[in-house]
Amino acid sequence: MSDGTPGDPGGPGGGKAETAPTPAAPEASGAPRAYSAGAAAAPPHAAGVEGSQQALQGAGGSRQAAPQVFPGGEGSAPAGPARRGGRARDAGDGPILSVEGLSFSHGTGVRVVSDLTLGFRPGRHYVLAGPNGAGKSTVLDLLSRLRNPESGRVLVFGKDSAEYPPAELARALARAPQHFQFNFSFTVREIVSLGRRPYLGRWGRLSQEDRDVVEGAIEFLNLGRLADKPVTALSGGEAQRVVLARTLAQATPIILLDEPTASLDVAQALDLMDRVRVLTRDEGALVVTVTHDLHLAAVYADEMVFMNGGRLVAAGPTRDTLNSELLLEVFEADAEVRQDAFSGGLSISFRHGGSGSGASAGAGEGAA
Amino acid sequence: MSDTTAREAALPASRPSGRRERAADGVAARRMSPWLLAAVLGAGIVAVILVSLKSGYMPFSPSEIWDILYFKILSIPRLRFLTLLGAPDAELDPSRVLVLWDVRLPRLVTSLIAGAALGLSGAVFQGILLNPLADPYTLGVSSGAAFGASVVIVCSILFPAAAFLTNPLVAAGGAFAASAATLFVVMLLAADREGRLPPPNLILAGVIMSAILSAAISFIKYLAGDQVSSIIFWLLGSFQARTWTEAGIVAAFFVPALSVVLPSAVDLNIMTLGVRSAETLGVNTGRVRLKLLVASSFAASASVAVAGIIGFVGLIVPHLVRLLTGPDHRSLLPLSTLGGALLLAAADTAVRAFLPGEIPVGVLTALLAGPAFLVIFRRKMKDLVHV
Repeated sequence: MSDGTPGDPGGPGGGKAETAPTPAAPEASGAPRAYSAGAAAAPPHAAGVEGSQQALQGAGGSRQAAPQVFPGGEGSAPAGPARRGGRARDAGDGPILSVEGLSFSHGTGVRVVSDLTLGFRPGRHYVLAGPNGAGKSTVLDLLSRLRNPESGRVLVFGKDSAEYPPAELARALARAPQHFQFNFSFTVREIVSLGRRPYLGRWGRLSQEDRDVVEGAIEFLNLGRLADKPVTALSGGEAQRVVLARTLAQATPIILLDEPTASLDVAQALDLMDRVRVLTRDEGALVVTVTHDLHLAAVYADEMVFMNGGRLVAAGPTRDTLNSELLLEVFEADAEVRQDAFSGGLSISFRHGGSGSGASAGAGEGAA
Repeated sequence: MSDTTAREAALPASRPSGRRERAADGVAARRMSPWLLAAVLGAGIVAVILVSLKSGYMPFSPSEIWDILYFKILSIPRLRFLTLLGAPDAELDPSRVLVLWDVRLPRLVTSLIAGAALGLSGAVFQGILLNPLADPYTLGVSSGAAFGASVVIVCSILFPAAAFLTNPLVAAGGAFAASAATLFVVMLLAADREGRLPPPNLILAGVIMSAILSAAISFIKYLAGDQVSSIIFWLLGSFQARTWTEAGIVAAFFVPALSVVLPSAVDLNIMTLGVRSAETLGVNTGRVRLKLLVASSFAASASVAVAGIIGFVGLIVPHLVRLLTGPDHRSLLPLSTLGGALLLAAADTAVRAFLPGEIPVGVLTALLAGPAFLVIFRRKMKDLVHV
């Protein structure tokens, strides 16, 4: 709306340009990227993500065939929230959400996202990772149009998200926020029902179908027992599941999760990731998660997108992107990534303080 | 295999995590049906209307009330056709007609509408500011109105030649203008760079403006010298000697506010989730918030302008309603409207007809609602303990 007004180049920015690096400069300073040279297979472009899709198919297939280490995953977790009208499975395999040349600066002129181009395909779980300040959350904000890009576009089903009326966008794309608070004693069911807002008229009357979707979302996140309880009386983990249920009640083909496991314990986090897997594999949803939990990502992400300093560092199937060189480059952490038979995915061990003793924390071990 | 079985046992489909999950078990939301509460409040309002018209220095019997109302209604040209239902009693005493129709009824109607406006805007403010302690005066509406009225009153004291200043409607006009100006300044102060109005900014800006205006009012009181009591009495809030004009003024702001606010009930529900969640659910929070703040502030300003500052109605009524029927604004807004009307009309009837003296109604509402609020607050604190 009001981009391009006060803080932008014309004003104070003009003066700063002398000292601050120009848009081109970060490449010189921050990215002599030994990595990006070697990442010809997965260059920081949508093309790379899409190009390596075949590899993912292969990897996914073999993972399916691997012994099921998470029986709770496809097996015992209930089916996703009852069949939402909105979720489109017929989108083929092309990206249903993509960004082209996306850039964003805060009012102070600091560029938080630079020229990002990416495509996200349905039926897959993408994890967006990077150190604090890498611009991950800003990317989610831009994807969900909580912020308007400075330049570039966000395409939702091929159409610029700026052209969507708000309610229509809310039927295509849902987002579970990282921070939330419940100020009034709505019940769990009432909060989840609010997710139906984009489908309802002015007075918010729920049809039978809306009620079914709400109940489905409540069941899907195991909130049945709490459905009539006031949300103000829930624990942090329960409240987070309520927020997720509300997001699922929106019944969108695209779901953005911002630190969804931040206040969950290990068992709850695994449970949640199992359910996300149901959404992506069984229902064809696209899920994009921002998380700091690389261990979970290593096991559950179909694809990973690594960012640093607002730039894309690498994107592609988890197996192709998640490796120790990348972790060293992005997080400056000395880590070892290996195939882990126990979790059925990758596992990461970090070396601390040069002691030489790696603290292995494969995602699978937490609940054992 | 044994590994898998062990894990399966550790990861049941419902994965209850023990202690913390059970925390909520004891606190199922027990709620009253909104329709039942609406019926109770409606019956209460009817009862207050009857008792209020009946009681006072000059008592009326129900049949006399009926005769007078019928007579007056038939004297409205458009409603003449109702004469078909029977001719009005011609034996009415004009002075009694005057007392009921031109003194008691407008006062009652003004208190009903002012109470409704305060209850409604209190509910809106609590919802928008995400703060159950907010009330219609949070944004400085009352301080602004008090300042405006004080200026008019002190001018009428300092310049006795300007007789028009003693007209209570001039004080009301001054109060309304000043409170609208205050609202504008508070919003200007609270707006962030993107033109949004974040609740914490609004509350802070309101507190700052109130503090400044209070200081100004103190200065005006000092100027008023030994006639300061006329300012103090205005500030305490009263419906004494209110006419149909005052009733019309509050109604003129309350009815549009109601028609703006009620259809936004669902958006208000969504906005309690926070701005970011609301935006991703397709609600234009900036526009909705501005619309609701302006509408409900104007309704509150109008009620302060005609009745002075009546505290606690806008705070406690939405609170009680939420406690009884839950926080859904689709029921909260209309029920707070009814509740505010009932509370204020009952309080005004009590001070007029039943309590000695005619203490200002604002004093009574504060005396009643303050302790009630304390009880609610303690109960809430106890609830919070076992979260």
